[in-house]
Amino acid sequence: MATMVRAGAVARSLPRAASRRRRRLNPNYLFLLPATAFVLLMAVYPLAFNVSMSFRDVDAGALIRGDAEFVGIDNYRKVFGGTAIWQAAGVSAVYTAVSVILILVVGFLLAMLFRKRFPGSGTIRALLLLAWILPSVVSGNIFRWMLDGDAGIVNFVLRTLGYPENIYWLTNESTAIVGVILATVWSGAPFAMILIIAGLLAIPDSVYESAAVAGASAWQTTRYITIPMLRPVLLTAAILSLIYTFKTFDTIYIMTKGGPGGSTAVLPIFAYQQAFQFFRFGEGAVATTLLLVIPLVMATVYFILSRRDQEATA
Amino acid sequence: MSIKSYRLALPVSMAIVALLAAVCTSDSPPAPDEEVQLTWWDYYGESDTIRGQAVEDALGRYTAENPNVTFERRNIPRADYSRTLLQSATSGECPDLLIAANWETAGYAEAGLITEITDQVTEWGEQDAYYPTMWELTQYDGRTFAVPHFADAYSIWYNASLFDAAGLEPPETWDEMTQTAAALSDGGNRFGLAFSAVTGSEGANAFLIRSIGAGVDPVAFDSPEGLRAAEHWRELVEVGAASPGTLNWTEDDAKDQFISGNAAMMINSATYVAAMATEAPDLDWAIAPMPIDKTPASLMQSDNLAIGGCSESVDAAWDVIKWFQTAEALNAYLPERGKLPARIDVAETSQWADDPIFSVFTEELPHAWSPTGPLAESPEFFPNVQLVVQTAIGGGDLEQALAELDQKTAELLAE
Repeated sequence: MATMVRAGAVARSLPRAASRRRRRLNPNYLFLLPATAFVLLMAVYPLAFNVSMSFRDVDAGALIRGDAEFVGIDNYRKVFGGTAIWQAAGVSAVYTAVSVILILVVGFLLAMLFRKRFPGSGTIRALLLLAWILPSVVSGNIFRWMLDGDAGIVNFVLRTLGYPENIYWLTNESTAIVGVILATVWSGAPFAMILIIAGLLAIPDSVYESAAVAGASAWQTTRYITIPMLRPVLLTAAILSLIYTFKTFDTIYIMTKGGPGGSTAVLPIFAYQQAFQFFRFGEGAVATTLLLVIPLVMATVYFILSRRDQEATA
Repeated sequence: MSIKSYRLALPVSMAIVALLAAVCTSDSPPAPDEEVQLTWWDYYGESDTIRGQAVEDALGRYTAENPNVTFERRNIPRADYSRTLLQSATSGECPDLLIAANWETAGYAEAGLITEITDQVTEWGEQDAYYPTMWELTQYDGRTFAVPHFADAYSIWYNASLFDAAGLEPPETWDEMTQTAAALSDGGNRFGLAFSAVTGSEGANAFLIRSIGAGVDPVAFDSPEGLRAAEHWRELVEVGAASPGTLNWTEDDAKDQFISGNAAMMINSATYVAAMATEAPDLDWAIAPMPIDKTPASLMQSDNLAIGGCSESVDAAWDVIKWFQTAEALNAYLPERGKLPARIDVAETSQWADDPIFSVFTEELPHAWSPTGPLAESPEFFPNVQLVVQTAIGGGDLEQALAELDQKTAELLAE
């Protein structure tokens, strides 16, 4: 009985305690204000402004006066009714898909190479990372020179090996995309390598030892132990590379300016041309909205997949 | 916007106009003892470059003559220039004086980025001294918004030693150009002719000169003349007179090819004249007029000087614009940075007419072409023309490319 009374008293006093706590906690929420304001101002507002702009007829004058007329989905109709955006989307898809696959393959092979220490491995690994650290202005220009049709080192090597003529890598519509993908993979693969090395080191040696005892070949070990156990890391590397590659602008702009004939004009280049070369801000905003939505979808897929993965391992 | 807010908007906007008018009319010329600092924006490079230094020297000369006026110059990279102007204007800031590329001037005027100066120009009365095309590019909606700052034109630059060694003369016609350029190519790294054909505006310049020389009307490229010009560009590469690499060359790159001896000739503007003394002191080079087909043709480029749309020192800024167009100021400033006078009366003086280099360029000016009117207001025209160049050099159906260009031009003009 006494216990029950006490329990009742506790139950009655609970809401009061909670409300007291809430009152005490309230000022703490104030500490969220700066961060919230920062995010609203620096991330949400520009994004919302961009989306709003995609529904308005914005030329240079309207941008300054701030009186752009609301035109509904006119800009979307215009952009998606044209061929340029579809071409840009196609180029983006090919460029991103091929680049990411190669980044993962090369990154994985490099990681396998550097998993075991050998003389000079630290230095070479650091040198490889340099490619990733290097500003894309630098790497873009280096690749532009290397792939130059008349004086580039790539053609020099090919000619020395007996190839009969110069290949104009960046001015030919079919090879320009190869050139920009090469530059992207070169700078992106070391990043994947670092992630994958970390993943490899997390796989316990005992697993490999048991595989060795069971007589597994190197291929079997890689296929049935390394790759499955690396799945979460590979997924992370894939999504991060995907987003990194999808939004590439500088490397391509430096190497080809989106040419020749639009063959390397990915979506970010298309958006840049619309907004800052042709001053069609409304149509540029349509493209940048698309640029916002696609990585958002990718990131969502990533979160869903990684949560499912965690649940599966839990 | 509701009717109510329209009712409110009218008196408010009238008040703003009245206020602006009051500000403008109260802006009398600065008294000699009144300190004025004018902000000046251009894209000519930092002060350690030849062009940037030339601008700062000129501004220094103005200050020496008018000690109460000083300048705060800001160099903005060309690619970011219009965007920076726009962004500043949206927050109500602008320079007192700014350079506006001729084809961007009307757009700036429409956007309110620059101030109308029709009255000042009428009072000044020197507008007839300019090449008509160039003056037309200072106009928007029948009103004047800028004054030409300088002119530029394209000619043939040639490596005199290579020509002497081969016993050749610079080509006078476009047909001769193919033969001469092919003869000067060595089948390796050296080509007879270099020009820019890069994606974007720049890559259209040389081809437009060739096309207009063939008698092409730029709004109707799909013609026997247009096809002839495009086929000629294709032929230049096919016979080895020009490199397929031109498709990735800017005009700077073409100049580098020329300086390094990898090109016997280049199609380029006078802008590089000033740099040659330091960049290629040992190169024996000279300038020849553009080859002729049906008509003599070159491309005119000019930059205008304008007053910022929100400048509070309109009169002081206008005085600077006028000063820059005096013969003394032009004759000191332009050679230093390799540009030509936009004024016919100055171009005809002996400093220009008797100069073996500059005279060739100034002689191109009377027939040099530049888009005007709606075509000049569309930044897409030149990049569209470059796509024909891409097809000519990179391969593809030329007639289709020309038809597509005309269709795009028609759409631009319809807007």
